Amino acid sequence: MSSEIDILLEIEREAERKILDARAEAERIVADARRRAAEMIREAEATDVSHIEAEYSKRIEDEREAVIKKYKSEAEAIRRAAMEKMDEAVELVYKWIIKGGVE
Amino acid sequence: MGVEELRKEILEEAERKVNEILSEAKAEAEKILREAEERVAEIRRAKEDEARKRMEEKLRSELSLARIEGKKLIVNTRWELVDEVFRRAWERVESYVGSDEYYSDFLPRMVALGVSRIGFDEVKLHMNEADVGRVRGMLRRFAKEVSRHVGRDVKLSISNNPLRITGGVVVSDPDENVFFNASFDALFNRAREELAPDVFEVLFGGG
Repeated sequence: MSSEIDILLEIEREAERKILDARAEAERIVADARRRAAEMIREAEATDVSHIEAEYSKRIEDEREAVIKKYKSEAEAIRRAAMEKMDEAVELVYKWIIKGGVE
Repeated sequence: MGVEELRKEILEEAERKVNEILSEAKAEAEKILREAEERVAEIRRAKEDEARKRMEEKLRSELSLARIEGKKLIVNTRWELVDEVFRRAWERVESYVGSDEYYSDFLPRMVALGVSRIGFDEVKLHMNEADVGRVRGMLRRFAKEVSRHVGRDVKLSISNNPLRITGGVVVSDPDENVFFNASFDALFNRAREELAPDVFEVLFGGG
């Protein structure tokens, strides 16, 4: 009878050990997941956005050049039109001076 | 119940417990990783949104600067053209100085205008060295022409201190207290101030 109780106690201890081992394994699984999650978030915090910056830098340069080109073309048109009126304007100033600034 | 049966039951119960513990741990780990993935997507989206927002702001700012630069180009172009008008007009004025018309028409007219403006019938003329010599040699005829313009006799004298001017004349009373400046240099400066709007209108008025 005494030996049967000893056997059962030994079996109980073995069962407890298995459960303790399982708890330890469970803690390791959860800790690994937490470590991996922290690593994923750290990597995300360092997300590289240089492709977006490069895309915009190109767009900025292109649109900037287009604006300047538009104004240069407008300035050239102004110059061409004004050159046609140049003699008239020179005459106006010259005559005003020769008349002594009297209208 | 025999020992063997009890043993089997205890171990099976332990096995069930082990499976339950490991299964819960795996579920917890999956939940942690799933939430991390969601957080990662959120962080990446925020980072990209922030970068786009920053670059959109830079784009707006650069284009605004480009527009200012462009408008400055237009303004500078217009002023260059206005400067060109005055440069060419000045060239014509320089060619005019010393011409027959300059002595027979311009100078007498300016002196007459000076006489009217300062209100003296006796005036002193201040001119550049070349004009002093030239007018001195024709003073009587010159005075007659001035008097004709004024409508009464005017007495003229010429200053012995020639001015460093391109042409034209400065008229003063004999004591040099009151002056009327009809030098081309002064007229040109006045023209720049007073005629710029008219020149703009001619060049860019679109009429």
